[in-house]
Amino acid sequence: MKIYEKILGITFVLVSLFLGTSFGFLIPLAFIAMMLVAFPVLIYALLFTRRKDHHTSQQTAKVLYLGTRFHQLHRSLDDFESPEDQIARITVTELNEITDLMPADGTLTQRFIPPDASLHDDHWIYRYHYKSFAAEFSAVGTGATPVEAFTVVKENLHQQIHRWHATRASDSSFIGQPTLSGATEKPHTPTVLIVEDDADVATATASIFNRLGCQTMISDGLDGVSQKMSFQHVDFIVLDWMLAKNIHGDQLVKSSIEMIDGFNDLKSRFSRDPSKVITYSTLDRSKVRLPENQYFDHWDHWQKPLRYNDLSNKASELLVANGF
Amino acid sequence: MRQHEYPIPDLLLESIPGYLERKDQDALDLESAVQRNDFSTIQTISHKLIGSGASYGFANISELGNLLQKTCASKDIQEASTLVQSLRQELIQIRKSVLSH
Repeated sequence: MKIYEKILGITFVLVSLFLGTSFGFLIPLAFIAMMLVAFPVLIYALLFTRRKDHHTSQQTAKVLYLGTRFHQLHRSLDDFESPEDQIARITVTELNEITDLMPADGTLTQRFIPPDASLHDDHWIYRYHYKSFAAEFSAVGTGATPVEAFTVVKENLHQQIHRWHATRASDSSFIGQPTLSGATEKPHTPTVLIVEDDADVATATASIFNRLGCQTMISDGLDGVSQKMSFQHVDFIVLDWMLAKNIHGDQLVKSSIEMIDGFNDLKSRFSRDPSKVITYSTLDRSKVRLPENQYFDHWDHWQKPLRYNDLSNKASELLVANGF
Repeated sequence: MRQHEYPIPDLLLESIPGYLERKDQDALDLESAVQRNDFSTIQTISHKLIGSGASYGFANISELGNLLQKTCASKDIQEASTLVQSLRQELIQIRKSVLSH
């Protein structure tokens, strides 16, 4: 230890003794004074921080509120705007934006189908089909308003357009015009054969498919239905499984297969594009089995009873899933 | 039962009178089948009731058809008779409702 450190230490002790003996009573007072000064500072600091937090959360809330209001406003615009105005707006502006992304010189057919007032789901249906020399695009959408139905279609079409461009870019044989792979959906009016021995069920089913823009045929299962299933090559067959006179759906399919097998052009056509069969029965799915074959694709099973709007939804989903 | 309990689809409105007439005939055939203990006919008609009722907005008809079909399995002719009367009542109720509309 150096000499000046010793001197400093001794001085500190002496001063402490002097202050302790002379002014020791001041220590509690100094402590109280410090507390009096520190307390308001502490309170102020706490309040300031709170206010700052409050201010931040107020700002966040304000942003959220504005966001919510924006969505509400957007929604309320849909609500406020009549369906006719929505359709007009879509047709004038948004429709062109999509069609501009497609190959030129095509023919556009599109339709908004209003809700069936007696059903409680109030769904609009929007069908879009565009056909040009180079490609075809089609989609169906449903929604509570025309805008919602259109939005579903728009998203679907954007995907189709994206696929179409991707195919075009990757196809080395492409010269001038794009190929259709990936983008093409069913180009024609979908055809549906309803095989049903109960005229009431057949009428209800046909009315739904007609409303969705399909061409329908009804057979009671006895009137040469196998010929219809074979020669007319429909897109969909709604097949009641238990028909009159103890005829079962699989029997009809078997005889249709035999008929198709007798004609090379039918074999080729059905092998390339099998008809989709939807079995419709009170029996559950496990009890309904189509014979193994390459001409008829057992797409789905709908179990009776189905309410009209449920049947309508299933029919709509079927068309959408198959690109109609 | 109030009218709105039958959500009849607009597209089928024109078919409703014909439908109800056919169901009246079904009810008559069922009564006759019950008297003969003819479960085969009961089975056939109840199958049709199940399929068509709900499609036209008459879920109760489908349900009655379903219950009738069960009596065919249990061979309970008394229950079948009761259900046929319920079907009759239901048809009257529907007709009242549809006409009031």
